[in-house]
Amino acid sequence: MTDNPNKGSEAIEKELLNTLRHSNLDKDNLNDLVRIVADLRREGLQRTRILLKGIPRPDAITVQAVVEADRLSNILSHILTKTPRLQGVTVFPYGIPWPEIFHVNVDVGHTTQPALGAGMGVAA
Amino acid sequence: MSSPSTEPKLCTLSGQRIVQIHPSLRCNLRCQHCYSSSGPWIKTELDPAPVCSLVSDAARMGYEVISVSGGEPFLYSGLAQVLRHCKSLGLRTTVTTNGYFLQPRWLEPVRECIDVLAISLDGPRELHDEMRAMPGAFDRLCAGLECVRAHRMNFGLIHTVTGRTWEHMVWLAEFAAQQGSRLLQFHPLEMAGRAEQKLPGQHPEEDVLAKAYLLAFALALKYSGTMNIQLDLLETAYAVAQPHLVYADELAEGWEERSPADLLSLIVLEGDGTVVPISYDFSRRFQICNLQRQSLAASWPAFLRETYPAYRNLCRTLFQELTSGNRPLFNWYEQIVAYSRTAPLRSATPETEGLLARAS
Repeated sequence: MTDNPNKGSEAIEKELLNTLRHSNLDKDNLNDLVRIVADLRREGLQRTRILLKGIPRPDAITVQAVVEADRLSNILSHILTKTPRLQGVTVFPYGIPWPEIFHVNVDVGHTTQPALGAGMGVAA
Repeated sequence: MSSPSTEPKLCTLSGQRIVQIHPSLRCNLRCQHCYSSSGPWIKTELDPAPVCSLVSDAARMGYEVISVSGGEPFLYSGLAQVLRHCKSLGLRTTVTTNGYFLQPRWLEPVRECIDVLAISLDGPRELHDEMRAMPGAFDRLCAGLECVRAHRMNFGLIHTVTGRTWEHMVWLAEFAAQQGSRLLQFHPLEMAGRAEQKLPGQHPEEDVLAKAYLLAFALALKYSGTMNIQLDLLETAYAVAQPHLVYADELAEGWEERSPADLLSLIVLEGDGTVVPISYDFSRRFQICNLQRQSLAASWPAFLRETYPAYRNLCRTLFQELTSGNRPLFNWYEQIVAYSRTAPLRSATPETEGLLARAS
């Protein structure tokens, strides 16, 4: 993998916008997501992508980040002990020419979206 | 303007020591979200002499940045005089404009005295013109941006986030980057001034603030290294870790010796000469002075003795309320201004009694 780790996907913010527009995530879920992202950001996950899985109703969140080797153990410790509803963490080397950088995927779910149509938009 | 940071600038307070000057509420536009209800019918403005005097005091008191707003600052007859005075004292300057007067005739007299032009943008053409209540305002802004670039001036764009406009944040960032902006600031709408009448239901509630946060985060990453993305919200956890940012910490021994700018990093001069802490429209119960009657430097000791303890108390009480809830984000400026108007004046708590005793 040789793309620049500083550069995110061209469409990631648009994908996020579409998800936020159409997913009907309620206030509590959105606030949870903000907390997770804010926590991870403070722990040093800077180059981060946010993906909501499941359209039209998201049932999981993935936060992808690039982490430098010297911060990895602190960040993993924080993720493993403090992330609400953690489902899994994947870490792998970013690769040549950045051997000191790791790619981290944090899977979080399920959202607390009510099951019976609350927040699903206005009926026709 | 310094190079854009490679880190997202989210939910932080700047830490800069700023004097915000609103020398007049005269404006050529009647924007729907205007917090100061500025407009063309207002003819009054502050004489440049007391404004320059305030700037001199502020420089001596430790303030570093003078930010001129309005009204529309390019309609203020004393703009060039005030800005030149700022630069003569080595201060940094910013001017916040609606973008209508970005033409050589207006820019050339002041271009050397402005470090950053902050230009308001409400969204794509139709939305911008609607919010500005002025057909053609967007096209005029685009032409103005070309002129600003031709004059090699640093500029940033400021957007007021409403319950409707958050969906344009990605477009706004693309537009700002294409235009060569070094900063895109998202400021949540505050229901003050004209916004109260013109934009009912547009106040960004918790869900919109969360969406704005997530989008701003993604945009900050995308544009890191080329354009700063700033969102005027405070993360609750961040605030709890750094309560001094909102004046909610305990004052350490010897606080009286700290510079005024250290004790109050943002002060605001309003169009009638009143100087208040923190934000436009802050309750006059906490005013520092009115330039028509007394200078900033002369009034500071009395403010410190009689009002500052109550101000700290106000900040601390609100801070405790905001951080004890379940919200991950809040708009400190909006909350503290509203609270300053409704909260009882409390300066007789054990903490503030101590402050008062030490100050006197």
